[in-house]
Amino acid sequence: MTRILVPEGLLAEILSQARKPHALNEAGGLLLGLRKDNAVHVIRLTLPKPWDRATPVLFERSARGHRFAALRAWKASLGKVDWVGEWHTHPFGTANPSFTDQKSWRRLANHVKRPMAFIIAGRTDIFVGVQDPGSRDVRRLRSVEIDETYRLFG
Amino acid sequence: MKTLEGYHRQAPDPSRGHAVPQCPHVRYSGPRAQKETFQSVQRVGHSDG
Repeated sequence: MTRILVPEGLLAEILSQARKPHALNEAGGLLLGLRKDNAVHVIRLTLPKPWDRATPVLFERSARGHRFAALRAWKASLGKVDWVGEWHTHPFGTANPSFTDQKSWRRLANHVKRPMAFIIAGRTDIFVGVQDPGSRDVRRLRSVEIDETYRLFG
Repeated sequence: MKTLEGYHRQAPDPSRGHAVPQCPHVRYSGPRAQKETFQSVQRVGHSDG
């Protein structure tokens, strides 16, 4: 069972993107991190790029810009820092994933053939889940442990 | 705290030279879009009936 290790500062950054007073549109990006035994260790994220398309109820993350950031991190770490998931916001609703979100997650996990971490920040709540390749449903995770700088979801 | 500490210490998977991150274009939608879609389906269903 895959767990997700996320820095508190990174969670705060994602939440702030959804809760900005002027946040009119959805936002999103990649989660980059390390794959460990039964765990995904998120270490950084990418922020929205000019090539993304965003409306109050839609976010289309472009490959351009985000892919370059992932490749740069991957090369700098000698192949250890991988694209481990995605985040996006629902600035006008709950963090629950829509059908479109779930369909996209299934497609991405099947593409990568490895578990992928997904985070949605809503106005008042946050969703953290893992999508396994070949699995129909995303598995919602709960916060199970916290230390000074990290939160573990499992 | 032992689980978290264990993950901090654990080395990541070794480098996989072929696994260049691809990150293809992806589409997400919020709850409002989902609701509108559902209502659209209801309207279509009603007119068909």
